Amino acid sequence: MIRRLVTTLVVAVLALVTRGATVAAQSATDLLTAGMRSYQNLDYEAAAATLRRGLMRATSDTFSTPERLQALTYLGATELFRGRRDSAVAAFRQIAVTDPRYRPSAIIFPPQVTSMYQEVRQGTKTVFIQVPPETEFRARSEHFTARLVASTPHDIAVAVTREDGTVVNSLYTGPIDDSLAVTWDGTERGDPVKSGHYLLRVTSRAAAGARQLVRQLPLEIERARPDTQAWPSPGDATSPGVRSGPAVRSLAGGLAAAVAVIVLPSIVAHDADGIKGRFAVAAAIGGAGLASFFAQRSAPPIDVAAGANAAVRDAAKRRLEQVRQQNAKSLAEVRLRVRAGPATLLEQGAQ
Amino acid sequence: MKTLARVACALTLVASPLAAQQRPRGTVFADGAIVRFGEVLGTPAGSFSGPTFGVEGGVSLGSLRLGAGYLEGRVQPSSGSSDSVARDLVEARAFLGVQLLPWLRLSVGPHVRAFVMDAVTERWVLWPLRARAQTALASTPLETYVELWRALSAKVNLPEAVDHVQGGEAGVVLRPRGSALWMRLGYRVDGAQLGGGSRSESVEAVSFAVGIGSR
Repeated sequence: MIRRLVTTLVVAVLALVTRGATVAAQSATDLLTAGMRSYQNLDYEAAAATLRRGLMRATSDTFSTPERLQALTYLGATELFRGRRDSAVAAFRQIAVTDPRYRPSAIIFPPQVTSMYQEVRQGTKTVFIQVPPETEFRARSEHFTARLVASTPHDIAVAVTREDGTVVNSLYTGPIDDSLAVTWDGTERGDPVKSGHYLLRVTSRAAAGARQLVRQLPLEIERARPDTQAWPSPGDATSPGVRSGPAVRSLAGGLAAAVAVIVLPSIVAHDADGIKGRFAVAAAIGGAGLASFFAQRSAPPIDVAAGANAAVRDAAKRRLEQVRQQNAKSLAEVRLRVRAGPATLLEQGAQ
Repeated sequence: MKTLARVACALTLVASPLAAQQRPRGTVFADGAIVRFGEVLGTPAGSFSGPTFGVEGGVSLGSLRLGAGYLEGRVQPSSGSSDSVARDLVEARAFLGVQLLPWLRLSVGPHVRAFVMDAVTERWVLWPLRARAQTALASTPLETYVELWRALSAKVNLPEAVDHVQGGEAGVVLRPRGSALWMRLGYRVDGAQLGGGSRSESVEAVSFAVGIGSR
């Protein structure tokens, strides 16, 4: 009996939870439709209340951005016709800071609404930032580029800052009309910035007494390792065929190895017979030592050899210098990898 | 065994800083040899000879060198030998070496040798410490080398206890200019004394090797 009761309760709770979630998911869209219908029926009280409820639900991602902009437009128009101008301005301002290119439909909304929206948009001075999600460039010689789109022509200040607001590099101060491209060479006072978290901040200059909007984009900057060439091997710097060591040392080395071959059996294995073939090996080694000795003695005069060696050494030095310069250049060319995050909007107090 | 561990650690410690940030270089060679094996049990008991063939390879990282080799062949009893049982000779070795000086390298590692007969196999497990001196002969593409080694540890499945095992090698290397290929002619010999001198064995070989890669 108890088991059946528990099962029934669990099923009932699950059914309620599932149904509740579906209702919550549908509510915002339903509320938008209902609000639009109330607006069309001139029932502005109901339209305002319904749209606000829908917009509040929209914060839990049940509204897409176009739906949210549509809801805000209907809400602004509703508040305008209700005689609540400040509320209408607030709704239109939210649109203006969300999408600079959005315009209410002139077919759906009367001229009072579209002209008021235009007035609010022109009064809302903000900028939208467009950058690639990831950029890699050489500091100093190449640039990171951000495209700025303005809601309306106004003055702006663009800077790269640290997270605490310290300015790393001021990129632009001046007017913006429709759009503007700003570039940064990745430096702070002439030197490439270190790896870390930075912000691209665009401050829109507001009229005296008004609040100013600051759009900021987080930038994660990483210094990429430079590619350098390997040093030429030391062998490149020595003259070919000429080994170190005087003639006598070569002769001694050859003869010592030859003697070792002959006496090794008696040193390490007293009972070894000693392969006869080892004498051939000893002769070869001794012959090599003698050949080296006589080759050294009959070597060309020192100034001739030195001349040939000098040419080889000069070539090796030139190669070394070339690699050194290329490596120095590579090390000087710091590559920066910039990853951009989502932009945020701040509102600062009146100046 | 503790001595072996200490030697290996010392070689690694000496070589590690030197090997840092270097590119590895490899070498490999094939080796053919005429081998003579002799055993004495108070009086000469057996003498055998025959060809062996082997390969060896190694990788160098800075002054550190790691390598391994294998050879095998068959030795036949010589005329007049009282032991007339032919046997296969199989050897394998691995080593860790360090180039202490441009002309001097020390290495240590296991060396296993087996004489395989029809009924029984004689197995040696050695841990030789090797010192090899190699120098170039001026004005020629030749180098000579001498290597001496002594086993820090030696085990064999014979009734007599091992007194000592030691050996040596010497030869000449031809390294043509501008070529990665090289050739080596050498002679090597080693001897083992067992049972307070009651038994001894020796292996010697004249070998010719062709290799490619660094020294």
